[in-house]
Amino acid sequence: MKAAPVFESGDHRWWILHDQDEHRVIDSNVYVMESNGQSILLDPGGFEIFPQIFAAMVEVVQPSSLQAAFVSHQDPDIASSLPLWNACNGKIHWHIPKLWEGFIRHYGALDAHFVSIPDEGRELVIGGRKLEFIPAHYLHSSANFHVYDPEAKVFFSGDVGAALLPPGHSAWVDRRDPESSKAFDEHIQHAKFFHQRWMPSNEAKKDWISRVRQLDIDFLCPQHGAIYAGENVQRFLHWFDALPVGTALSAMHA
Amino acid sequence: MDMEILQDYLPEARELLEKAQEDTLRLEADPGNDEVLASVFRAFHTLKGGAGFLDADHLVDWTHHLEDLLDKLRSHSLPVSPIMIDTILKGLDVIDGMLRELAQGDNPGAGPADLGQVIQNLAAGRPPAAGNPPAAQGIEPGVDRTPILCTDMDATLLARQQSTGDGRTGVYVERLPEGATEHSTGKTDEITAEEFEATLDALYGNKAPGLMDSAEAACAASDEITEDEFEKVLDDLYGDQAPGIVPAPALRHDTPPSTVMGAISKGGGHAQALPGVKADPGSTSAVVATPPKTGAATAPEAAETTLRVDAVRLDAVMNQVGELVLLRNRLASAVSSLGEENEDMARIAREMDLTVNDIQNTVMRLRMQPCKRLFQQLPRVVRDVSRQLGKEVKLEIVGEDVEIDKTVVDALSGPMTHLVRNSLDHGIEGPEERAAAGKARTATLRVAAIHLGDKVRIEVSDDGKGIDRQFVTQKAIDKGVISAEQAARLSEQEALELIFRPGFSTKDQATDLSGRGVGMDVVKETARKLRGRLDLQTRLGQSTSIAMEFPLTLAVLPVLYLRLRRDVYAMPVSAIESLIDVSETRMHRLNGRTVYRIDGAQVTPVVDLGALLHHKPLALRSESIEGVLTDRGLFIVSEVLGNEDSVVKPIDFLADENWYQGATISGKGSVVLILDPSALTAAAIADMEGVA
Amino acid sequence: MDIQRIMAIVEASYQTRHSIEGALRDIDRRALNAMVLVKRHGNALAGYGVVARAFREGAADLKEAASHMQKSIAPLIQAHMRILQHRSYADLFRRMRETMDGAGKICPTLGCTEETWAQTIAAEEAEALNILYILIQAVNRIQEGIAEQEYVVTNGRIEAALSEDTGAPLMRVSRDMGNAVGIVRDAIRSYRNQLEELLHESGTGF
Repeated sequence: MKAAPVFESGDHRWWILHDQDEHRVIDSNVYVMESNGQSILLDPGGFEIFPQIFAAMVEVVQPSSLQAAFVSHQDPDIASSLPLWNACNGKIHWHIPKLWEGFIRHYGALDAHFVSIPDEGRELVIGGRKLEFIPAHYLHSSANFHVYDPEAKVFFSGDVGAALLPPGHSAWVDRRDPESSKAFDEHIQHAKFFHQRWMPSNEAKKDWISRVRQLDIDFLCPQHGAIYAGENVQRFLHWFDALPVGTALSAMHA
Repeated sequence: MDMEILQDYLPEARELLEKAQEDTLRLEADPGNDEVLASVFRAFHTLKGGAGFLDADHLVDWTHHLEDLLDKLRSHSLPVSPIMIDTILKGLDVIDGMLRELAQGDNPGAGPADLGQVIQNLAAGRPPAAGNPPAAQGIEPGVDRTPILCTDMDATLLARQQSTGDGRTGVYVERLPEGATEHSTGKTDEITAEEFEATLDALYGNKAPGLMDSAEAACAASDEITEDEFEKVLDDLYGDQAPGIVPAPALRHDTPPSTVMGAISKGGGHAQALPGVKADPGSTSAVVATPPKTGAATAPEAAETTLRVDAVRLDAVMNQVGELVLLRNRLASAVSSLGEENEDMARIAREMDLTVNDIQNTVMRLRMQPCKRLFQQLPRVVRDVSRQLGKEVKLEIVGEDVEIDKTVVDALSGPMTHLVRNSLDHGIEGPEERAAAGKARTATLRVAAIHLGDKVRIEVSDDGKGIDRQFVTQKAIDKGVISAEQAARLSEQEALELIFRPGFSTKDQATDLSGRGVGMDVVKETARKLRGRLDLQTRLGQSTSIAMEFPLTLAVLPVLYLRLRRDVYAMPVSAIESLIDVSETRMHRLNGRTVYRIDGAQVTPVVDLGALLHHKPLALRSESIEGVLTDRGLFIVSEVLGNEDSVVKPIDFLADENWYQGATISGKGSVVLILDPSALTAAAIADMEGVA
Repeated sequence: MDIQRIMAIVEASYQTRHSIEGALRDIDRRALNAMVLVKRHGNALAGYGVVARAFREGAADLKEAASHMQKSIAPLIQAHMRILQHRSYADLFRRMRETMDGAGKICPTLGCTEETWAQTIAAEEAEALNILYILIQAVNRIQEGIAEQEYVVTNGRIEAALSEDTGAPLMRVSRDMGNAVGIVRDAIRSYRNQLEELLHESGTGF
């Protein structure tokens, strides 16, 4: 597992922890935002990869600075490490979609401090910096949120933008030649099936795109695969807009 | 023309010329000084002799007239007058021109006829009236088997250089019977005792004590060379150290009954012990062979161990040492990457390092020359210019012995003259103006060389009227050097330094003083090329001082390697004050410029190398940065890597900005550009103002 | 072992690494500064040049030693987190067995699984102890490096006193060097104490 900086400006930083060593479980990215000596973990990951996530995280942020964790939805690759984090640091506030609270407690953290996120989303301040929980319901989970940092222009997009990449992949969709869409076109092949099959609703997708297009985004950070930066953000939105999703239904009826 | 003789003649002739000029200026203050008169006379005489060998007839003629004049002065048959000094100085200029022609392989043309006439008239004891100068006679001093004659009434003393048995060149002196002269021209123009003495001078230098007396004695009326005469000749040649005193085992010549041959190496050789020479008083001839005693009275050892070496060869050695330094760096880099297990290699590398440093130092010193060479032209300049401008100036020269790289001495001669002229022309006031300002009528112009660690500082300062910043700024605006808007933003120092900008001249008409194609911008450019820095200090109404600081040597350049994102650059260590941890809170915007507060009230401009070289400023908050503080500004870089003694390779493919002093090859073997901090600071400031 | 003890080590590792990183950069910069100063004074400060060079080499050695230490910290933390993770499995089976026991039912397979986890954890604890030894060795190397640097600094002070007449601010440079080394020394000493406490507890834990 490696830690790499996504954004840095003085005491305001974003990190990605990526390229896990365990390949029997789906490869996941974990993000950390640090501001003014306080930090938040975004989608802390599965139970199995917890030791490496933890070791990688404490390389880049001070362990005691961890105030909060955000869980976008209920899936195990996102939240099953919850009891272990809770054992290490019982003071962490868990920001969790209200709809999934009772489900997530099943991972074995009955005493963890949960703070629910209502369906319409809300804001959170960490170290003096505002984060917005952006609703992304049905993409793919029925209660699902993304996180936007308007100052860093970082957008954590959960499963949207996810790609299934081979081990040893880079944290970024190649951005050495921002004018050319070649790198993006190659990368997006690895994202196509994921979006077609795991995303159920074209309507939810359209709604999400119209809202996200109004945000100023430099870095679009998915939970699997690689980060879209600069031009690639718009390329992705354009591509996703054109992509029909929920393909399992149409395949059945074909 | 015999090129070999020419190569020997030219450097000596130049030295003689410089000495003569110096002496002539001394005469002005001390007209009755016989020693100086004699010295000038000898200089002309020797110049003439050599010119005869080279068949440079016009030079012979010219020096002959001057010699003639000096002879009269020397014998006090004519008094020294200011017009004579002027004439002699002008005459020296003509010789200088002729030597230049010789150096280019041309036989010099005739000197200016009017000046020649003036010289002859003066020699004849009459102011500019017509006179028929005596025909010049070619007189050959004893070089290479050419005999010269020393005649006295009816006897001739012949001296010639001749090879000795062991391959050296010796001097052969003998008195010939009357009529047996071998004078090459066959003319009866007799060579006087003085001429003989001058010949010896030409052969041995002109500083042997008591030479004149003994030479006269040597040409005594007797047919024979007496023991006294011979001893005197020997004394003169050896100084006080008679050959018999020298322990003699080194040479075992069989002494011929009437001749003694010894060893002498051409152009000054080794100290060589000689057998005791016992002259036979009854013999009619004697040969004396000695090591030369140039400047015997002052520094015999120095003279004996001096070697004239072609500068091209020195340059070659220097370049080779440069290559060695680069190789040393690469070795050190390679060894350090081997790791600890290779103690032996590490030790060898360290010793190699020290040895190369020593070689470097030694070779560097070979190229060092005293600043005297740089300064000796100045008394003349000051004299001529102050006279022309009607100003009274006292010139003070300090630090003639301070040594600096030959390249600097050579390149600085024009700029030094310009700085001095500039000071006389613009800085120093006329005596009335000075008196009115309550200053001494006579101004002081000070030229100094000061040794400072690994630098030499050369200063030209005067107690004149200083530089008026407002005046300079207004001129610069009028001349279109800068805009009024730019001018408003300049600091006091920057405004003063406008005088170094091309196209700037505070005189409305180019006087013949500031002419010659050398301006203050050329001074600045020369300093830059020599990796020097220029410093201007002035106090209005009181003084101006322009100082140039140069590295002691140009052969090796200690540099600091620094990283800008993925690129590596080098910066001369001499420009660096210190390396600092840049703190954002110390950055300020001031009058449209970004400055850095170093400590207390001291601020310096910020030079963001990222902005300059990558067109993308280094982001203080998201990129790693370090600061390199120079005397010009704080350079912001990604990382400072380390230092190395490096060698500069010129680069000529960069036509754009003069931001680089050259290139070097790092220990890792890659080519690295060497930044020019002052050019970059200027560019950074211009950039900031463009934005503002 | 107490998870809070581990968390304290994790915290101390982060702190130590950061203060050492900063101080090592500082030491390196001061060494370079001294070398620049020496170079600018020509041969006059040759003696101090040797010191400055040794100091810079020492700084490079310290950096190297610190990176060795760094390489052991992450595995140590990961090993302890792995133990934490597996303990939670073991606890799960223990609780199940206790529940069954309470209901009067004996399930040998459950006991067997519990035993297997206990063995796994024991092996992992041994591995963690091994990593801890390696880490302490790395810390040891840093401490040796610091001792050498302090010796160089002392020599520097002597040289500075000898070349006081050159006017170069060598005394200040030497003092700054000494301070930078002092920061590393103190940070690493307190870190070592914490590691040794952990070692002590791990040793008695068996």
